[in-house]
Amino acid sequence: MPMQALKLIALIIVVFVLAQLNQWSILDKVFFALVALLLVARLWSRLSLIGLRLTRETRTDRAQVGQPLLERVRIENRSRLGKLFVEVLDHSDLPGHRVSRVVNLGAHDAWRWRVETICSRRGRFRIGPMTLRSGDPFGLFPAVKSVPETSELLVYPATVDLSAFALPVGELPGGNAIQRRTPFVTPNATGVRDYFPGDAFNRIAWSATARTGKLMVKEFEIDPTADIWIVVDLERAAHVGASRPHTAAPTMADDEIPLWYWLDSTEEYAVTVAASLARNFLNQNRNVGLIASSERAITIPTDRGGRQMIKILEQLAVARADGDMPLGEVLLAESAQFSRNSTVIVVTSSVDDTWVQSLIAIISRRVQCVAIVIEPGTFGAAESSLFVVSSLASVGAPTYLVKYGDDISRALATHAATMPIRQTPSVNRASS
Amino acid sequence: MHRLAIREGWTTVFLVSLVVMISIWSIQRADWADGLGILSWVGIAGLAAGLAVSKNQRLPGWAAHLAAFGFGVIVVLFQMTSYLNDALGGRVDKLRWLWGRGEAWMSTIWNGERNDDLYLFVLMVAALSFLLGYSSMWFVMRARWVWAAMIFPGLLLFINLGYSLRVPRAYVVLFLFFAILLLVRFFMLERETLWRRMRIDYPRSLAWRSLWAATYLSIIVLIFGWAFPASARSGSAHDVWLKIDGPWRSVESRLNGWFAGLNGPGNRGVGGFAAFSDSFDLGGPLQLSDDPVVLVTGEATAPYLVAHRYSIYTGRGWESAYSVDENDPSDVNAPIPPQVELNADEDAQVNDADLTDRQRRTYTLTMQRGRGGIVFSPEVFRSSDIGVNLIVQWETVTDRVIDLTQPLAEQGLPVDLQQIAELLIAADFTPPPPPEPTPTATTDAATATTTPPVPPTATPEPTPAPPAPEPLAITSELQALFGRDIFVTYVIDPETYAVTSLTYSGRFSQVDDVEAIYAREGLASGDSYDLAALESKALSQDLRNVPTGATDSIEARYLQLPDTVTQATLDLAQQIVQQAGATNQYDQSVALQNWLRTNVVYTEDVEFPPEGRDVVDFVLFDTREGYCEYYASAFIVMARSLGLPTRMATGFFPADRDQAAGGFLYRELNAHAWPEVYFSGYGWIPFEPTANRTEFVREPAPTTGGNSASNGGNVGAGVGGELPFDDPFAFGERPIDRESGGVGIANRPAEETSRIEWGIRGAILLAMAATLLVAWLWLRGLRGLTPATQLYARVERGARWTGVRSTAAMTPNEYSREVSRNVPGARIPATYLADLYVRETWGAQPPTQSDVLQGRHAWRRLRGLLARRFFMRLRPWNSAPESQDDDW
Repeated sequence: MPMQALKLIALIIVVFVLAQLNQWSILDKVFFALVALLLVARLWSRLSLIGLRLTRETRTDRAQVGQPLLERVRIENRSRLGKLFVEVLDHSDLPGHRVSRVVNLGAHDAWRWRVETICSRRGRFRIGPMTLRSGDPFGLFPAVKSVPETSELLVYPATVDLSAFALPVGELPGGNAIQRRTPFVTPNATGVRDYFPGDAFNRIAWSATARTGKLMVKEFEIDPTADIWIVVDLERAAHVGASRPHTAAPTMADDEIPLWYWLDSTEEYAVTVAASLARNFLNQNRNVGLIASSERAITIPTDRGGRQMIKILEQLAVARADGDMPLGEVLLAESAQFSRNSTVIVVTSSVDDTWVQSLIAIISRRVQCVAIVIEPGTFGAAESSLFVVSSLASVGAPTYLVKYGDDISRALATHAATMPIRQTPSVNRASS
Repeated sequence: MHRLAIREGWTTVFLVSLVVMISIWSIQRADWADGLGILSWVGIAGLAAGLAVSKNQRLPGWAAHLAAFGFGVIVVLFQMTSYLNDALGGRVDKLRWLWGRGEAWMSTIWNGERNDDLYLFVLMVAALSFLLGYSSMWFVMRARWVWAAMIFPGLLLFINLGYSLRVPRAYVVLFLFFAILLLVRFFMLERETLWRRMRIDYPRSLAWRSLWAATYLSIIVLIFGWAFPASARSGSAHDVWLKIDGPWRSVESRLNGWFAGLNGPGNRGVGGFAAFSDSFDLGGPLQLSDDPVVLVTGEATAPYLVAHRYSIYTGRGWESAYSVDENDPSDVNAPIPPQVELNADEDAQVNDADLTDRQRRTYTLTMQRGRGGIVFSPEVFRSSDIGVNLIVQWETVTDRVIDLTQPLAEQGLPVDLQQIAELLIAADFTPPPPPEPTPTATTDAATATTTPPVPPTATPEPTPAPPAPEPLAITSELQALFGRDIFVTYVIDPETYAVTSLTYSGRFSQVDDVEAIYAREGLASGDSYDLAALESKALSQDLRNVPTGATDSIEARYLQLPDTVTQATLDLAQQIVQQAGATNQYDQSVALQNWLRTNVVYTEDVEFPPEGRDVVDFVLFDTREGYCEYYASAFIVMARSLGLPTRMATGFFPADRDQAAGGFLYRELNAHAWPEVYFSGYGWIPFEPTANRTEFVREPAPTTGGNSASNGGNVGAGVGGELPFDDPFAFGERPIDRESGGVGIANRPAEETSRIEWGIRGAILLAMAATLLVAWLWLRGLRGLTPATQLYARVERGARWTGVRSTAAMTPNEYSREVSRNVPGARIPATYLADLYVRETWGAQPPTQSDVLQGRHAWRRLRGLLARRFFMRLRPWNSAPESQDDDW
């Protein structure tokens, strides 16, 4: 029983006792008026959520950080009684997703609204459940009805344009043709064969079909390019959050929010860099694989194409810096996958240079290695990765240094070997 | 404009103000005392102060209250000093005067006596009004406690409504209407605040829509309440309450004693005719205590004691003449008639012409409790051994002529002019032998040089010798009268040189028409005074011979009837006297008296008359029941309609002799009201129309046996001490109370019984107090906390009561584990609530509403376990398992 109703009931009891004792007719009337108030409130509350129909439409179950999520909500009153107020409360855990609204509905009335939320966090989010809350206008008997249906939204990490990021040509000569057939359509058509049921129509070689008089299909091979492995260090101990995160809401412009809004940790930087690299190379039709050392080890074999991009993004969307395996051990464990002419890009914020030793071992197998170091010192950590960078420089591995507040596109345009190491962190864009 | 906007909205402020002001207006409407007009401004000031300080969030609560207190003191004292008469001096002098009265009031209250200082009442009610306005606004705007903002004004309204008939029930309807609107507005305000905090969009029109809905709902609710045919009242419960309402009645009596002079209807002991104030309304049940008031000794019989008389019937009650003069718009500039001061043992100069067949009797009255200085007197007051002030009727006379050659007593010569009349009659204006050219034969003491001579009506020619100069004694007396705004001129017969007539103008006290008498120095408990009074022993045969009619002033004053008196009442009066064949004043009065005694049933539990209805009409034609004030009012209205000058007297009917006290002990329950009819030559003669009182015996004693002298002496005192003890009417208006109200042996069984009753009442009170204490201990400090914190605080409090105490170093989770160890089954809910608290206090994401709902569910489960644990701890045989639990 709600407290407000209890107060009223207590008052009614007091008035009733006084009416019993006092023989005062005005107390009679007040007593019955209060009882009527209680009954009317109860009845109103019972009727306040009857006949409501709530519809929720979410256009997609996938989104990317920085992109809008569009939802439409419609609540319809199918009863003959109007609803003074109905609170439509959304319990989604998507940050900034404000679907909740209070509506006033007449009889056979409907209210609809559209919510556009810029996804600011990667991850898997729950859309729903919802609660309808109403009651009597006196606040005596709140009425609550739950709408338990939920859906899931996966928000991919953001990607930035890394067209300026180039692998050193001289040091990465590419590779020989792999001579491995692939179900994907590649620029390398290696031959034709007879059509079998199940073959995609877009692979039919019409010229050969015309020539032979029967359906023929083309066969493809993977490009003769080197594999690119992106290794993301998600060891828990290696990551820090920004000591002064950007908590202020950014100014919306063109339905986009600035990158710095969600890049508030080395983890987010690492994931964003990895996703951007994957997109960049997959756009170049390269084979890209992913290794991430989170609590649940993530290994995606190298492949190319849009599906590979989606695979990588889905893994990166939910990846957290919760692993316990140091980067060095990860590199050693996965080194068997790195073929001779493949390229390994390590994205890490670790200040422990032991992983450099593992990298040296890989380099010694003529595997090309590139290091992208997220400088944790600029995020407020006590230690700096300068020692790691110098170790990498000593072994000649191309190294890129990314600092808190840096524009990732620019930071990855020039590697550290040619870029003077700044003694002070770059200007914090949020505070500028 | 935007700067004036407040978050709660001016509608909320308006509704709070209305709720408070309706309550304050009910005080003003009750008209407990003069000067309550300042309450509106004081209430508004309180509301404004409450709004100002509650909206200043930077001001801490204690500082806000302190500032408001200072402001309130200034406002109340300013208004109070503005209300007080400027004759008291400046504001400082008025404050000093108020301080003195406050000290006297405190002293009186401290001694357990009654006090009728209404200035302090006005002061206190003004302070209460400020507090009401301030606190209500604070409760809504700052403390967010809307129930308190409604309950306190409502309580005040119902107190006024319960103790005063002047407050119409429409006030309750209005109050409930606006209180419901305020409740709705406040609820929506709370929701809007929450929505804003959660950044939830809501229609801005919702506030007005909800108020519209609330308006319709309020109307429905009020119609239902007022039209519902059933009743919540219970006769048996009421009877039980009457048996155990002693403590409450003693509280009522005590509070009533603090301000004994309040105006009001008198039901429930406040105001009313038993308050003997300037006015009272009829209506409501009669509830009088058996507290002793005054002990009367000195004569063999107990008299009717008059405390106050009233002349003006309003249709709802009675008012004094001088209280009306004060408010008369046509006489707004007239000063309040001064009281007639009598020194100790000084006789009141009453008109001897109306004292036929009156016997002087002397009583000694000992006050058992102070009644604000009221001097009780039988019939016509003559003198006292203490200085008194008489509140008398005043008559304004313009150029009335008195023929000095005729007997003065028959011409109604005011007592103030007795001396000048005697001097003029005795004066000899015969001129001395050598005639001198004196220019005038008429003189005016004050304007002798300017007043033109008034020639005798038939001045012969030639002009006779002018009269001798005015004697010095006459001149001095004329000047003294002029100083009292009395103007006198006289006419000298030019032949006899004697004064034949005098003409006078001015305001004259009617010393034989006393409204009330007050001791100049006040009367406290234990004070006594001797008093001489003139009691009528006129017999019926003498009164029958009195011709109808009275002086103009008496007829003007005592034949007054308001427009509310119905034609049916007038017809009934005519019908009664015609059926009785009454042709003279006395028989008509007796006919009315007998009809009322026969046809109106005596009861003390009387319904309130409907609003706007004439009370006498209501009694005569609807209920036909009532108690003394109804009988007396009906008698007076009907008598006045027949042309009989009649007035209302209130005081005490004769008490029984109290052996232990050694005299007639008058108690509160002896309070009575009766009519007095004017008989020319005999003065005011009391009648007794109340059915359960013994009527006055004025018939001559039968010649066979009996003592005519004693019969004559008993006229007007035919009840009380001389009645046989088994006379059913001798037990007064409340036989049961009278029996219990006696002292001595008869009281002892009642006292023994009351000890048991008191024990039960004390136990009930203790239980209620304990319940309230536990509730307070449980709820204190929880207000204003967030939901999760509140739930955790309850866990902590409940667990502490079961013996599980937290230490300063314990985290909430550790404490929940401690609770789980000690209270079997509490692990899950305790852990959940602790987790909820931790999340809300230190977590990044506060608990959602569904979390809080689940937390409440967990608390309900845990509450039962804690209660069980609490009661198990109280059982001594459970000590061993308890320790095992602790070990576990």
